[in-house]
Amino acid sequence: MKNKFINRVIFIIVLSVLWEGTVRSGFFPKAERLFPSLVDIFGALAEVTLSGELFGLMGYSLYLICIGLLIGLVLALVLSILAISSQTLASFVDTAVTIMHPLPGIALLPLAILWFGIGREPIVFIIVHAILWPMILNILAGFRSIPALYREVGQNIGLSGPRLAISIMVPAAFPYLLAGFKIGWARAWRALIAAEMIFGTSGTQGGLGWFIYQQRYFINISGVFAALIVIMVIGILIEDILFGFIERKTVKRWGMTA
Amino acid sequence: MGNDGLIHREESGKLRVIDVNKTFTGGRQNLAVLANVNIEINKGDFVCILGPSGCGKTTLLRCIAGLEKPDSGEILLGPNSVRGPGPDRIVVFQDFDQLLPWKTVKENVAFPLKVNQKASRDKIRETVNRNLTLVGLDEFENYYPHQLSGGMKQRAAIARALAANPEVLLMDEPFASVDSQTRTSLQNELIRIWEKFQPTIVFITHNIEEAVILGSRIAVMSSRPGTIRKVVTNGLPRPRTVITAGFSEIWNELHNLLVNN
Repeated sequence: MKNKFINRVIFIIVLSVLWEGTVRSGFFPKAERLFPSLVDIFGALAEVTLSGELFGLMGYSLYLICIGLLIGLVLALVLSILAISSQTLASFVDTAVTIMHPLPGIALLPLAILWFGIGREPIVFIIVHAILWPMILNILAGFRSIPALYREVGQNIGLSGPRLAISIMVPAAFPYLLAGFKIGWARAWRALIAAEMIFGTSGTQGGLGWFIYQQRYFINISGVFAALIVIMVIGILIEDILFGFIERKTVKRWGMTA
Repeated sequence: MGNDGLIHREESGKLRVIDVNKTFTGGRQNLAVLANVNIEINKGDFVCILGPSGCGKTTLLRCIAGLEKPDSGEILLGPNSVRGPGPDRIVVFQDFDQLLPWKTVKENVAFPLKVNQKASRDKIRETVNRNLTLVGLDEFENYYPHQLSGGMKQRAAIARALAANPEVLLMDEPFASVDSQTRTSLQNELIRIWEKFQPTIVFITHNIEEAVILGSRIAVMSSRPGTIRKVVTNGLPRPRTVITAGFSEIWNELHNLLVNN
């Protein structure tokens, strides 16, 4: 764990040195505009942080992603539980996943705008679409991997139907659920930024994707990179710290790492 | 049935397997597993079902548990026909993985209580503690199953089964996968528990010695399709070991029944 951290820091330092070296070498003639130095990038980052603008942007993006993830997770769980409780529903859900999974969320954007107008709703819609299908695939794979013995133990002590699903199936499939949720998070994050860049603002509010788009418009390339860094840092924090924490508290503790 | 007045007291908890047949279909041919199995087990009896591998003894136990459905025949517990799995017939499986890995030992034992009864927290706590002490696992109550040895997992499974307070304890070769020393101590503990609480126990085994040490009666099954060849009454004084007088006579009788299939 510590080793991994040190390796990462070294890798980031090497990358930064290469970056800065390239900028200062004058290899790109318009470097100061299109390929800004780290000083400019962190300057821009400090500016949006100190003005408080960054927190508004992050808050807006994270708020949308939380709503999208919550709706997506609940829908995925409900559809998966329906799919394992009946053969007919299973083929229905399978067909829906097969049709919808390969469809990029951005392709649905025009429809989403027509249906929901411009603002938060279409973005949440795109996020839900991005995560629902891969999460269903993972949850179903998890449910189907549960040893018959766990189910029998549950039935034996008198559980059936939804109680069996909640008390036995969900925790028994938890390693898969968590993997599905990680994939869902990563896809939601991508979908969010993409959707925001196209119509990210409702009134005066906007998120990180919208900020990138706006900075490009003002040809403030340092600002673009500053926002990219924020997006990467949030991604790493959630992956390593939040999911790492959940894994330590659950699947690792239970000896269930798949 | 509701005709309680007509049921004799000693009949009330009797387990009756009547003309049970079971054939597994699938693949190229049908596999007849159980053929006209009949056995009566009194309340508080400790019956071992002894048979060669593949004779259908596990299938019989699963039918009693309600995890399999017989093709014909009936299984009665007291006045009630077995229709499906239920907490009045708790199974202890051979597989170490029968404990739920996401629950601690304590939570595993408390699970049937939380599912079936509206018992108070204190009451659950007390029952869990009593059963963990009974199987000698009180110091391990906060361990997760993957941190336990095979023998400890089986002890925890027995504690969980007892916590459910079943009418019949169905044991499917629960000690077959532990080393022989652990097996002996688990057998002794099971007898101690049985003598103390007198639950009805149906114990599946392919091990003659285990059957003689444990069972008050031993039902010998033929090879597939399984049927009960003979029920041998085992009156040896307890505690029994292989050098108890009369052990070898019963062992030989059972052995002959098994080999002359």
